[in-house]
Amino acid sequence: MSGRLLEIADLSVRFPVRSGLFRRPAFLQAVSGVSFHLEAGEILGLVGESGSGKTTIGQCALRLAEPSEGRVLFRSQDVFLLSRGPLREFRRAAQPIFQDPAGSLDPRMRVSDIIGEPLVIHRLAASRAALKERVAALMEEVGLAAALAQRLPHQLSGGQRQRVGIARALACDPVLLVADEPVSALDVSIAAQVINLLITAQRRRKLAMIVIAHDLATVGYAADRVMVLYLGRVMEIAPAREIFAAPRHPYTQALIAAIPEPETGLAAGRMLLEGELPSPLSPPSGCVFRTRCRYAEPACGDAVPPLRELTPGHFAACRRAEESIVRAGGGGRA
Amino acid sequence: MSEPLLAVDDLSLAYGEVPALRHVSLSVGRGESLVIVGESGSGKSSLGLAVMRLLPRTARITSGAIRFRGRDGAITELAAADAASLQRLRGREIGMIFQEPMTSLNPVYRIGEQIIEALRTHEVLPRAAARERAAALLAHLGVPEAARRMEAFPHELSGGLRQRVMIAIALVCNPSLLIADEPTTALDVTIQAQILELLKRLCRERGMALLFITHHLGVAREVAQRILVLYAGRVVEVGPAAAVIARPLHPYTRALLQSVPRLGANKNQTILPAIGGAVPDSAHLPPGCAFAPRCPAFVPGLCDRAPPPLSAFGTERSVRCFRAWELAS
Repeated sequence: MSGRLLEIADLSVRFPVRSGLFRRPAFLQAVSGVSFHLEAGEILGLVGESGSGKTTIGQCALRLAEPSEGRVLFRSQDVFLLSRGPLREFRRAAQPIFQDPAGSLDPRMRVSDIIGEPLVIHRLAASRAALKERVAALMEEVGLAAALAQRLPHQLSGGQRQRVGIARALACDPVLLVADEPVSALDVSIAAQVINLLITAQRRRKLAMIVIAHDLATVGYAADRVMVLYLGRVMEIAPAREIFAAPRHPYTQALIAAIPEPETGLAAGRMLLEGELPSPLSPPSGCVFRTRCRYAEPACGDAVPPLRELTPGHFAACRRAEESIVRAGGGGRA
Repeated sequence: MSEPLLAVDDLSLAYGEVPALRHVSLSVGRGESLVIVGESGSGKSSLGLAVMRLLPRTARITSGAIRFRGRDGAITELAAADAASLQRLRGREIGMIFQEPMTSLNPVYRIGEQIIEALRTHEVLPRAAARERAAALLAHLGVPEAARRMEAFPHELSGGLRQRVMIAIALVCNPSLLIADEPTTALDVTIQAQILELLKRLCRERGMALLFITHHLGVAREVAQRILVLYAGRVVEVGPAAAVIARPLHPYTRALLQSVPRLGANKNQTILPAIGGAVPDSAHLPPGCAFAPRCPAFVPGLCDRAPPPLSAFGTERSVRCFRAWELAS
């Protein structure tokens, strides 16, 4: 499809883990064979618990982490093979938003300098006056009062700091944003403001966006499509509406059932996952989720189940996804 | 109704000159679970720490009393208690767990040792017996291979297991009240669901009362019999959990509930109603209702003059809003 802005093909990332002096070096498999694409103007949500690889995938998409295998194509070009000039252009066009705005803002820079710095680096302001004007417009776009321009990050609230982070990311008119847990450090009443701000900016500027979070409800609200990850592998990808109405992977079903909602509490007759996440140093053979799956059979350990398209646009990596017993497990929520 | 286990009466607390709690009153009955809901700066953590008298030195209790009824029936005034009586109650009759178990556990001691230490501080019993009881409790809390895990150091355990160890330390002396300050916030959702189930089961089995502190209304609903909402150091609403969630009386509670995205909601169908503005600076609260500057139901001349009182609404609920009756009808 020509609308594909970003294409990730067969991405794997391994981190070497230092072990004992005479032991074989071990590898932590953070991401295994992940493929997906992002259309221009689309929001893709990445959900998973800790160790699912969601942050590493986001970092690879921005060339902030290096894959062990696989490719990241931005406008059909491999971002890891870009030469200096095109890389500079990629750095302008693809921007990160981080979880902890306090940690990602220079404590000694003033708000206006933080937001203006990308414009200076990419030489996008013709004059000092033009720079000032652009910064003022960006501050207005993200809802920061002009009076805050000369403040330092520690003089701002958490919500204001995240707005500065968003303004900085938007400064040089990117086409792709990767937001890693953009609201999980914020208070409930502030988080909703920031989600709305991201969606408004994305619509107005027709941005493509990857939103990474552990909170399925927030991701599902903001995203067009949702990808569910477990231990570095894709379990399910589907349009946001469908993933709640008819989750087909047992892990997605368990994840949805585990979310306490104010009105209903945890889902009735829920599937409470037992046990803990297996060690990523020695993941289970075959399906990585089988050790906690209520539908697991011996055959699930034989081979890694491929991601299969069950209905148009809805993919799940489960051998038993078509069976009625598994399909029934996804009902009753959403 | 019988005497409450814990009665906080008109408690005010300040860090230096900045008030954190303003005339807070609440009570927890035997075996009852009360959830304190609030955002950062609401004073919810200070409340838990005040009951345990674990406040930092800069904090001063400026008014009020905290009465706790011990197992022997005697009432201790915790706000004025001396070190010896606090020592007798902490860990034995009142247990506490925190958000990040890694910072509460001692990294250089095996977890078994830490549970045994808590037990032997309050009870005279031989080491072997203490060890057996600690291992049995860990197993009861769902720690696999509990006897072997007793030898583990905190860093060798996952977040969920560490929180179970914290719960074991808090419960090993069978307290009648457990204070839990955001105990599941650092955990993954599937592990959070396990820990919430565990806490509910333990309260049922042991008849233990729970004072649970959270910012998450979904989590609150899961464990609460009653919910108390704090805003800028004041109680704005109290009532039975189901009623507060189904029909919130205070505009802040209502807005808080609406601003959480629901599962299955999508931007293409619904707009997420956000609360505008931010929590006011605790040192300079507005003269009237503290929520007035952000409130959709704000009426000039009414809400900005003097803080509304906390008034009874029916028999079981209270709300701090001039317009609650009008808005409820």
